[in-house]
Parts: sequence; C-alpha cells; structure tokens
Amino acid sequence: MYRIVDLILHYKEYAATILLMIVSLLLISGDDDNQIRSFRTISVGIIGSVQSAFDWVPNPWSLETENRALRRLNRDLSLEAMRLRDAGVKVEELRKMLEFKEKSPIQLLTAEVVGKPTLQLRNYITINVGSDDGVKEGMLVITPAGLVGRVVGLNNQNAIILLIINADSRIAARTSRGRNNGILFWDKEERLLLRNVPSVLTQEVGDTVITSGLSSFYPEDIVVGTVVDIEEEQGTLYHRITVEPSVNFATLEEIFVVLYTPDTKRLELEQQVLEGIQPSGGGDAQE
Amino acid sequence: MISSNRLIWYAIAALFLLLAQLNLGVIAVENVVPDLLVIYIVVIALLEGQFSGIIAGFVVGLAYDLISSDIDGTNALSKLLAGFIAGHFYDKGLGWQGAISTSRFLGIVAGTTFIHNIVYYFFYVQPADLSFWSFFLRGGLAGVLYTTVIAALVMLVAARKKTW
Repeated sequence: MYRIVDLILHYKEYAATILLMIVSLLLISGDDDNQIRSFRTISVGIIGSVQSAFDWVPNPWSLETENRALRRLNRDLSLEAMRLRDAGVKVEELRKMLEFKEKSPIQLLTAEVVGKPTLQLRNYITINVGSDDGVKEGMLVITPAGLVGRVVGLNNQNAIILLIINADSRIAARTSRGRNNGILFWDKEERLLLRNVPSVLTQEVGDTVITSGLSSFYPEDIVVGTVVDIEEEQGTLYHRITVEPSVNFATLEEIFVVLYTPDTKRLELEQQVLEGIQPSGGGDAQE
Repeated sequence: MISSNRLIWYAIAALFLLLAQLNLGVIAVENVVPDLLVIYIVVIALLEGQFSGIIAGFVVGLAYDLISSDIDGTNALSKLLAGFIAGHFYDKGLGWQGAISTSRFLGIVAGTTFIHNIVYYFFYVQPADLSFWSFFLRGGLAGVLYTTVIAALVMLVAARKKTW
C-alpha cells in the first residue's frame, strides 16, 4: 500500500494530470446540472455588470470594424435610395402614360422598347408588340410627350419603328400658334429642322410644332417638338426653323402604338407623285 | 510547498485575471484576444513547478468554464495540459527573474498556448458543425501570436525589475 502511495507521490504530476483529465472529460461529456446553471447565471450577471462598467473604454479595432460596417450600410442604403428614386421616376412615367391612354380619344396599344439598333444615320427602335397584337405597318408610335416615329417593319411578335430622328424621316408639320406649315427633317444631330416655311410669315421661338394632317402617315395635332431657333435660309425665301423634339429618345422605354392605319390608297397616289424628291433638294419632300 | 502568503497572492492574481480575461473585448483584434490565463499558468509552472502548474491550470480553467459560456471542462482540460507542458521547463536554479525575464519564457508561452489552443478548439468546435482546422488556423494561431505579444510585455516588466 505504501509502495503504491510512494509511486503515486513520485509520479504525482502524471497522476494529477490523468486524474484531472478524467474529471475534465467527464465535465465535457456531462450535461449541465441545475446547480452549475444557476451558478453560471449569477456569475454572468456579475460579469455583465463589470463589463458594462468598462463600456466607456474605446476599442480602436472594434471602432474600425463598426466604421467599416457603417460604410457598407451607407453604400447599401445609397444604392437602395437610388433604386427607389429610379422606381419613383418609372412609376411617374407609367402614371402619366396611363393617364394619357385613358384620356386619349384614339385607341392606343402599350409597348416596351426592347432594342435600339442604330445604323449610322438611321435610328430605329424595336418594340415588343407585333402583328399578333394588331400592329400594322405605317402605324404611329407616340409617348405622352409626343411623336416617336412609325412602324416600318414587323413580324408577329415585334415591330421596327423608324424614329423621327432618322435620315429617312420627313413629317408634314405646322407650328401651333403661327400655323405655318412645313416639313420636318432630322438635322443629323439631336434636333429637327422645319423647312419650307416662307420667310414672309411670322414665326416665334417657343411655339409648339405639331403634325399638320397634310401627311398621309400622321394624323393631325400630334406634338412633335418646340421651336428653339429661327433663321433665314441663305439663298432661299424660307425660314430655317430649329425644333427641339419633345420626346427624349435617349431614355425611351415605354411607348404607345396608335391603332390607326393610314389611308393606303391615298398613300400610294402620293407616293407616285412625290417619288424621287430628295430631302436636301430644297426640302420639299413630304410623307 | 507554496507558502500561504504567496498562495493568497496567486489567488488574487487569478481572480483579477479571470475578470480581465472576460473583459478583453476592448483589446480584441478581429475577435482574437490574448489568453492571459495561459500566461499566468506558465508563470506559476515556471516559478512553482509542474505540479503547481497542473493544479493552477485545472482550477483556473474550471473557474473560467463556470463563469464563461464555454463548455464545462474544456478550459479545465486545456489549461491543466498547459500547466503540465510548461512545468516541464521548471528549473529551480533559475529563480523568478531567470524564469520569466528571458526569451525562453516567450518560447514556452508560445508552445504552451499552441498546444492549449489545439485542445481547446478541438472541444470548442464539437457541438457545432465547424471545421476544426479552419477555425484553429484562423483563431488559434492568431491567439498564440497575440498571447505571445502580451507575454513579451510581462517579460519586459520582469527584465526591468531584474535590473533594479
């Protein structure tokens, strides 16, 4: 017996380690009993009070982490605000379109722009409605702001729109107050030119330009733009009137197709008569 | 045999360090804190011998298990092993200055903390479905480094006292 005690005392470090390891492993494998749990509750309460007493001590690392988190939150909120702002603009646009559609005496078909193919001076857009939706070639495309263009090609699901800012576009138009008739051409940049208005007629800047109804393609009184500049065309007896289009083509997303078909017989007749007239040759060509 | 006077001082130091260890959040770097208790156990083991180191490790570890939210027994086991390992380097002839005022002390703290963290994290990750190695490499090794840095401060203080 003494020899065993001696042996244990001689190797007390190992004996203590093994014994305490067994105790520790038993604690690890055992469940919390109620006494330990209540002791822990009390100790956590005391330590919580001590910790709260040290709350005022700043931790530069945690401040840095907090700053980083706040910066991330700020960025996310900014993005969210931007998205909400965009959504607000979109809602406003759609609301205007809905109002416009409800008030409009003509039958309108809502469509979305799904493509903007640009071929040098020929600006087109593709929309997500086609012959299956009742769209026909020659139909007009508008927004609440004004005239966009007309359908020049279609299949059963999509339609191609020739924009008024296109080298091939010519529109019979007039100024709303001055009632001066002319033909609108694209100036190859961002504006339109109203030509064939005699210089003897009075014209003012700020006047609205609307379709005249003299064209077979466009019905009367559709807003096209606003007069922003008037000058005398050199070597002619006509005004050179610069018109700002009322539609912003860069942000075009939703449009209306006017379910109005031009008089095809009249079109054919006019086409025969006017065939061969170039827009740059004095500006007397008319659609 | 440790005198009762020293025993009281050790107990007061242990109590203070237990509270300090629970409030180390203020010096946490990326959630990693130094283990002051391991430094304490290494100091005890180097000054008082392996047996004292083992007992101190178990008692302090168990106390920490009870007041922290760790699994009961994990700190008791890992810290008693820390005392056991550090106790191997006990040299009566060195005296307290020789034991903790040289770079040898830092090496012992680093090695002991490394083994301590392996054992501790092994049991720490058990209840959760966590990868031991990824957890240990991230938290364990950083903990070894941070604990060694704090031990260096202890060593510097001891070295200054030595010159007085």
